Amino acid sequence: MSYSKHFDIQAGNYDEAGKAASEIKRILKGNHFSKDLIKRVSVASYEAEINIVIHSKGGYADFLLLDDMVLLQFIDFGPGIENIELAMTEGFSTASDLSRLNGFGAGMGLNNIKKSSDEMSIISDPNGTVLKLKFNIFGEDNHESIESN
Amino acid sequence: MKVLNLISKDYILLTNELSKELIFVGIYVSDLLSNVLRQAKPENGLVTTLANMNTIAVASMLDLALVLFCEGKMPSVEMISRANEEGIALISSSKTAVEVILEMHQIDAI
Repeated sequence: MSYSKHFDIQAGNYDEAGKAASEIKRILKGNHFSKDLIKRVSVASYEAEINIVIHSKGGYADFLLLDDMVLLQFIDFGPGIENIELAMTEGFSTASDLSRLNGFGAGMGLNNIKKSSDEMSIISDPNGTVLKLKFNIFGEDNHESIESN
Repeated sequence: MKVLNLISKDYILLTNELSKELIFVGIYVSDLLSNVLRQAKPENGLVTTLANMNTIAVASMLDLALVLFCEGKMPSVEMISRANEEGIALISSSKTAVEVILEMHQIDAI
């Protein structure tokens, strides 16, 4: 089994934010995956999509469903994350006042993504950021629960 | 608890009649959506002052049953329409989050 889908993500469009994540969730629900897997993929997708809306000049997401895993990559066109280690620190945020008014900017996005996924890699420079995520469809107990702190 | 049991002059239902029958289990309170994404559980009600489309999007992602806007915050028509589509009940109240939680506790909603 293999299924892929591409989503364009607009920078600064808060009203459309979450459309890709919502569609990804719909696909997973349609395939009757476990609630745990659907929540983990949904939360990571939503946070990653919001990051592109809030912080970038725009970008896209690619969703790939395989027999035993879900692969996601979120790519944006800059300006990049200056210090990834700092960005991974809970509470650190460079979000604008507008983002905060929309309920974002808690500095938990990348952390939520990491906790939700089984594997996460991120590379970034001023030309853009590439975030790759892997979710195992089976053996889900190996991941760190998103509800644990 | 059924959404129906919450509705009163202080808790105004904004979504359609079908949403009265929705059942919520437990409540989570936050104005930060990343917190909601991390902590809220399916069928929870969310108590928040954050009335924008992202609130509904997050509620939908997490299969929340209810969003209760406190301190008189009102969602837009578009948000109500989206909530109807997604099967999420929306309630608005002039009470603060703490007052809402205390009253829910009194009626054994949580």
